[in-house]
Amino acid sequence: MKKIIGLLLSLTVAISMVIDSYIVFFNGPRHLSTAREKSSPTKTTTSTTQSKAYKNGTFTGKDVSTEWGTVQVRAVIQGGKLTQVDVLKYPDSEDRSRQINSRVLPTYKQEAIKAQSANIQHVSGATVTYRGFKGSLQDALNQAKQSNQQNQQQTGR
Amino acid sequence: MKTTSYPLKTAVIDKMTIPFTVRLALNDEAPELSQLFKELISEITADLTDVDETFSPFKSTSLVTQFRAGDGSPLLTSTAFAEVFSLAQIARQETDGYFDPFFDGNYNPTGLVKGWAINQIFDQRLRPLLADPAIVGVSLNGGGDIVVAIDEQTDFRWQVGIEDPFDDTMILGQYELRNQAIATSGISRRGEHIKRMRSSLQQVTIVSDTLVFADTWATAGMAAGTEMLLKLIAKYQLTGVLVDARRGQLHFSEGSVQSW
Repeated sequence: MKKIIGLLLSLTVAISMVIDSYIVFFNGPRHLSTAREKSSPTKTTTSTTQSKAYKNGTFTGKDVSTEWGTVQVRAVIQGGKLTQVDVLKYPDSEDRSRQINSRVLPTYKQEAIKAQSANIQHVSGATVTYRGFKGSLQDALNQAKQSNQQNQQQTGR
Repeated sequence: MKTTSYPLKTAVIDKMTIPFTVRLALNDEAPELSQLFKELISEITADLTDVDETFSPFKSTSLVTQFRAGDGSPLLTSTAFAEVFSLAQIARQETDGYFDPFFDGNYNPTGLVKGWAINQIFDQRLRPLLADPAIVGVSLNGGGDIVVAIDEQTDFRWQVGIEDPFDDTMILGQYELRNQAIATSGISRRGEHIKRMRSSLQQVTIVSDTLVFADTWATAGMAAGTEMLLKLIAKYQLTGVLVDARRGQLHFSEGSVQSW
């Protein structure tokens, strides 16, 4: 009888091990199927038995196209904490300088005046909250129904 | 000097406690645009709601909250999350570490998300409207961080004033913009929680092609302080305006200082 119980127990353990590894090997990568096309990212789950909700592991993001070029990052999580971030793919300096050189220089006119008397449509400044928005400069500007545009040949490029 | 007037269409959306101003410049009154404009505003409102649900560190269900609690899977499952995470790493490196998405010891992309969201929404919802012959200019302003664009044929230009950090009824000067982004960071700005050098730097405005670049650099500039920022302006060819309490206003263009 003891033998049978022992056998059953070890069988159960073996089965659960198989199920576990199935989850690790098949469930893990399935998450990534959409990210695979470009960079075949990998995810290794190192702790499956803890009851903790969050998994330790290495999370490799997909290639992301950003304003600076193509980027790929990897985050390492251990003990539920982000321990390391690596940039695996970094836009080369050519990408970045192309980005910079594509800029058309804006014209700037330095002139301290009452905002209400300026012909502007927007104000760039430190953030106001929505609560503080009523009566703010931008709020006042937003009431203007039209913009009187002057063709400023002397300042145009 | 010829003066032309362009009717403006304006709406304000309240999201993430920030006022988002959407403004279009039109060729003429174009009443048929009213329905389109209404739909546009509800689409942008929905977009901003999505961004808030995904990226708010204050919402228990957001992906950022999930990631902060030690679950890396949003990097694999959400393209938006992975994009912002990648941008945050690049921005940190590109600003010599002065823009830091880990300022509170954990990942917090709040300083970048607004600029990224405005860029995304602008490219998806507003820029395409320039194909409409009745619309000559489009703009989106999220609490002072702005993206603008104009039709190629028009003589309309977006005029953007730079707020005086000492008197919010005054402007220090104004930019004439065509297709650009502009962001301003100051000491009064809330929700930034960045470490700062001891400095008399009051405000930094950066103009660029994209708002993520402008916004992260404005934040990084405030963190760096005047002396270091002057070096960074030259090194990274920055364009914008800074205000120093002791030295006044300084305007710089592609890395070279224009006046003091």
